[in-house]
Amino acid sequence: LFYSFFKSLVGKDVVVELKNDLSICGTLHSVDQYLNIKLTDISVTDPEKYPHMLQLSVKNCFIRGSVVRYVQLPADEVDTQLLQDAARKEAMQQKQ
Amino acid sequence: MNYVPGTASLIDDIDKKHLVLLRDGRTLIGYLRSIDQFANLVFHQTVERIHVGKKFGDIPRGIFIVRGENVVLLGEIVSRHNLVFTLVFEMVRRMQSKDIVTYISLCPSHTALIQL
Repeated sequence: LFYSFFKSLVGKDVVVELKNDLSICGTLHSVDQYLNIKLTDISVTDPEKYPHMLQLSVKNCFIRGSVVRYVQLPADEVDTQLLQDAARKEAMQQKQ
Repeated sequence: MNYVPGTASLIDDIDKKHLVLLRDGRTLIGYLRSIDQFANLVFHQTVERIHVGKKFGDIPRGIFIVRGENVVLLGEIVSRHNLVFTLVFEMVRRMQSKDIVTYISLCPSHTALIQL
């Protein structure tokens, strides 16, 4: 379900917060079944809770799904009603 | 990780220079040679970069196999093409103006690369 959700967000700007407290802002390039995320045009949001990696020119990155804590999205990119309904449907299907 | 168009695949990143951040905080830089569905990575000519404040040192490590679960993130390094190209251009320019001495002193380590 969330794989499809993220696929609908490709091309939008998001901030990914990782479990190691890193925050990375970028454009969602692609996502896969493990919710691994590829971001393009990245920049650091946080005051460098960030190893000095970006002093090198790293424009794109691949983030492993298992290290993501949050994905922050602007509210207008998400139709919460639709998401809620879809999630409920999915939960019902899984119960059966 | 692949076989479906539009998915996050590392296939196009193969043979490119990458920086990988590991869960223990280490950064490794090298050429990505091989991947699999767990994001296990094979790195070639790896260099471990250790940061102290704003400075860093590199330790050459050779070939690394990284288990996928330890990978936090992977970033492609656009190698300092710009730097190298501007250097080469500058050297060529100086050579044209017969400024050979400056050309050699500019970058002794690169003279092997640039057998102009």
